[in-house]
Amino acid sequence: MKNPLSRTILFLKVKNQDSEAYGQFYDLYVTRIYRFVFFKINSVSDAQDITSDVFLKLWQCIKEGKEIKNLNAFTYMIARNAVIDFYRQKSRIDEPIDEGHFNIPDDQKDILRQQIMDSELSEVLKGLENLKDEYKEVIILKYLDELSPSEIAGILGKSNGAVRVLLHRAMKALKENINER
Amino acid sequence: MNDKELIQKLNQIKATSAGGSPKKDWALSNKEILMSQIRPSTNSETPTEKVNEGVYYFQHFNGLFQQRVMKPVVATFAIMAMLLTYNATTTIANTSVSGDILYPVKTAKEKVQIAFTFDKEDKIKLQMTFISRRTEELHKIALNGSDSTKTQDQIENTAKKIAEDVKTVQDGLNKITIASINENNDSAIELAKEIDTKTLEVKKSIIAASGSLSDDVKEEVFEELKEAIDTTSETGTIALALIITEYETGDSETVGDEELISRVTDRIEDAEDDIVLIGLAVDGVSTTTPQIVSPIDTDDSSTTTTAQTLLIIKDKPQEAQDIIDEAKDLLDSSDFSSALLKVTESGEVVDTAEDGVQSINEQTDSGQVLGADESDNDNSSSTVSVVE
Repeated sequence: MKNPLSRTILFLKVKNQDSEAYGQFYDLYVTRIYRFVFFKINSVSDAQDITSDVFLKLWQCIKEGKEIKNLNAFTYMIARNAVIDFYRQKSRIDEPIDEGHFNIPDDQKDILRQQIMDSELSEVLKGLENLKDEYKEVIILKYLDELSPSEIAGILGKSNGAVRVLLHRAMKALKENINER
Repeated sequence: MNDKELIQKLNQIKATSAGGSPKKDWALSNKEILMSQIRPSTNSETPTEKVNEGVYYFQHFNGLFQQRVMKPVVATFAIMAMLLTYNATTTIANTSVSGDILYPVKTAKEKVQIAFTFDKEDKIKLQMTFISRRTEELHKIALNGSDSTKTQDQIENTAKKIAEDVKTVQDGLNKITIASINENNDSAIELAKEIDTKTLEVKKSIIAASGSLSDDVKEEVFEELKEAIDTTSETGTIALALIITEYETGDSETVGDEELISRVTDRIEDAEDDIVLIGLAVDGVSTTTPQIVSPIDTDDSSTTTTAQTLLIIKDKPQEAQDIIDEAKDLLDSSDFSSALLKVTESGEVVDTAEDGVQSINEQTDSGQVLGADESDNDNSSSTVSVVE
């Protein structure tokens, strides 16, 4: 849905609890939210479960009549909180997970290697894997999900300026990671 | 790899499964589950009324209207309201006088105007305009003053302000005079003409305002009013001196014979007005003082001084008039600078007489107070009976 007007109308319908529209909204956001979650928890099955929960929670919020100024940012915020909850629960059960390190699971790695023919693309991905969690997060939101700094600021709970600084540092760290290889 | 290339690679990643794309079959099955979960809840509770799509478009454009049209409109109204409030405040403030709540707004506005006027001559012109305003305020206070204490304070403050502002004009004029002599600046002469005219107006206005004051208030604010009048008179004389110098050196074509005669005549007439006033004042103290005391009849040093002062000042009005007559003769022979010097000389004689009258009045007042004590606060006692 490239047309901004159509997207705005869709958002209005969703906010008005239109379930059909919510189905369209799901189609539009499922890849983004899954990717956002997947990059944070490194597990396909967990990413799938969390993504399902995110869309259900979002619908509940809409039904409860919660004030949602920016549906886009609000959806990511739910996803972010869901990941935090996931880690909290997991840390009670398992050993703590190093949030600062990102590894693509083994079952995905082979597929990745096959799909990423471009060696530079592979290097970028590896560089991204080794970034701090907050750097990774801001790069994903900005360059993979194409959110605006103000939308990212709303999701991360930071100011626009802080987001720009964070993004600058993240890109610098990513380049250093790539050049080290 | 530069930033642009890196961003391109990041964009490419998202198109791959490595970029975290979910499996299509999972996405579809998950949607079915989700829809089955949300549909029953919608139906079991309050079914959402199907809204016409046009409503959403209306909501969207209404939002846009609010944001892009209404906000600027509201902002414009807010700015207009502020401007109107500002204008209303300053309009009301413009009619205020010293001691009024909004008077500081008026003076602050004037200070800002002065601060943002960078041309020296324009600054002086603006200052002269404000001096005229102060004299108008002086009139207003003198006419409306019912509370003598408040009126006294207001007159004092306003007169002080006039004296200060005129002094500022005088300083500016002195600087311009030096520059004018060096650079043959016609605009400086025009400014001097304006100051010459304005100072005469201001002086007359202050004298007229003081005429409306009660004797008590006039006595209390005498020093402040005199300072304002003297400074104004002095500044006018400096301005006229500059005009005469320009005329006599022949450097400027902006000063003509007739105009100069008219200006010096105005100064002479003004000096004659002062002589008339001081003559009346001297007559006033002359008629009462001999009845109060004779220097031979008493040993009181203060009353002796009073009589001596009277002797000194009683011929001063005539002396001043004689000097003015000389000034007139000099003017007839087109010796403008000498005529102006005579006017200044006459002014000094009038000043001496004024100081004498003031001194006698103060001493008389001090006698009145003593008399009031002695006569058990009998205010009906006359000035003469006090000393007796």
